[in-house]
Amino acid sequence: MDFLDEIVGARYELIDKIVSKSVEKKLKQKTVSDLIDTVVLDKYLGIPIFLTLMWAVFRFAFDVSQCFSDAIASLFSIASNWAKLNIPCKVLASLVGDGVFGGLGFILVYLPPIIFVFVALGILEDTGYLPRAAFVMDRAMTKIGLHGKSFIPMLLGFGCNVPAILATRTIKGDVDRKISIIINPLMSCSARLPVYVLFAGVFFAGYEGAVIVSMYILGIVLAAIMATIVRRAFFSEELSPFLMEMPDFSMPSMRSVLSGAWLRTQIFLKKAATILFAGAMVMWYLTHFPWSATAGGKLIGNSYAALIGHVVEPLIRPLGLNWKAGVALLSGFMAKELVVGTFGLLYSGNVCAGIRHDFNPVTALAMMAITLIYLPCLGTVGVLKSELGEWKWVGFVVLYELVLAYVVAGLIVCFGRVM
Amino acid sequence: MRVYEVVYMLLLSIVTLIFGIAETLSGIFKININYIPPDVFGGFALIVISLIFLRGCILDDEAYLFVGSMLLAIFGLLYVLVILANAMDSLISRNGYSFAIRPEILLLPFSVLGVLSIRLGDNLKDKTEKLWGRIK
Repeated sequence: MDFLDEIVGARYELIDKIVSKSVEKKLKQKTVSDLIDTVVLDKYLGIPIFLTLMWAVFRFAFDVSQCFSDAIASLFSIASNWAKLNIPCKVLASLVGDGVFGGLGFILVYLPPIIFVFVALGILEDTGYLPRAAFVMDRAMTKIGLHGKSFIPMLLGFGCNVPAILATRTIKGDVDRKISIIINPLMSCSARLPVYVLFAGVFFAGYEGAVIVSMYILGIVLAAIMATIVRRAFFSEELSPFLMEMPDFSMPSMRSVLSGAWLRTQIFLKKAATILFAGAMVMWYLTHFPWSATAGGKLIGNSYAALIGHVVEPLIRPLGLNWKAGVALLSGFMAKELVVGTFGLLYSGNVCAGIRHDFNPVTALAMMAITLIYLPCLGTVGVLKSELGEWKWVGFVVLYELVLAYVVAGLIVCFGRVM
Repeated sequence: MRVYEVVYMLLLSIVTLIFGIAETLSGIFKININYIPPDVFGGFALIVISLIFLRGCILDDEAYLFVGSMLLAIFGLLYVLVILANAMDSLISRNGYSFAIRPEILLLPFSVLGVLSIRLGDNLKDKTEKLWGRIK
């Protein structure tokens, strides 16, 4: 038992003494909330139960949403073919068929799993499980230099890093809050999900769920490592004490879960109509021009995108990635969803076959890890600046993420080659 | 806790442990076992549920029967939803439809019984006591 445990034990002993002298208890039947608390806060089973619930969340998000994704994919494929056949001006036909329906449409194919993640996280929030998860994780979090309260923003980061970083405002200690913000971009937000679904579907058929969950776990592990390093390297302040009020468990209301999910989906759709649309247009231009040299987007190797990609290629070549991956990763800086949108344009409608040709299972894993770790998107950079206050910290986040992405992807490739 | 609840919990614990280990091993070593999907994480979830029941037996606490059964029911319902979603997918894509019944689905009725057992047990106990009182 360490010193901290002894202090906590002594505190609870004192509390019990005071309560036993001052409070008269009447025996009452345990409520359902009490029953659930007994088990989910269990010393040994708390964390495994949390992991089990997260697995259920992801199975729900990926497997149940699959049919909706396929329906959207079929719709956009029909729309794209219609545009290419019926619009007389070839440039305009390509813009609508490849740029709008091929690029932006390919991103929207992944909207259903994103909505399902929002719904599942909404249910967990509404039942009152999240504070319990924070309580259960407190011991593990203390070991890595954070406390339980940091875990809720980390979980919210699975939806989107921007509100998750804003949610760190509930953390009282300035240092604890700063560390929670710095590591939050490592939490795998829903925008990275399309990349995982795409690569896992192509290379790990039958094991997609396990591979995707591994990426989420990788994010948590890396965040833990970075939190330890950052606290030891930059801050000497002790952890602030962890106090948290536990609301009773309650049945989630369908209305509130769906309205919460709809609100988050609206934000995604607004993003799709603005940033993602603009990004898809820029990427369409870069992959289809000069028009004559690319023969209207058929010879992408002669496009501006290829030019940019070849500049980045020497950096990522040791990781087994080619210029196309480089272009996709660069576009992801604007918004991570654009990575799949760019693949949609680069492989013009035949994404799965193209990816199967250019990647293998090891490089696919490396690509997924890079997408998870490298560079926060523009929106996250903005909120990092507003919450951390200084550009030097934002610069630090960007820098450590780039280095970490390279190191982790390198390790995956080396390990894969050895095996 | 009533004896039949402990026995029920022990049975569920053994069954979920067997299925959990089978799913995990079949996932890791790619062994083909009839009616058992190769699913490492799914197997892990079943093993956790089994441990919940086992701990409930050791601590003699009905809360573990309630939560363990609830988790098992969540997974059972989830896989029913997956089967329905796959059916819809095959309708949309006009592909042939094939589905596999998972052990979690087979255990669904038993898990629902576990969830209800606490309240049912209390009601049954009240009614038996009342009846016993009248007989006396």
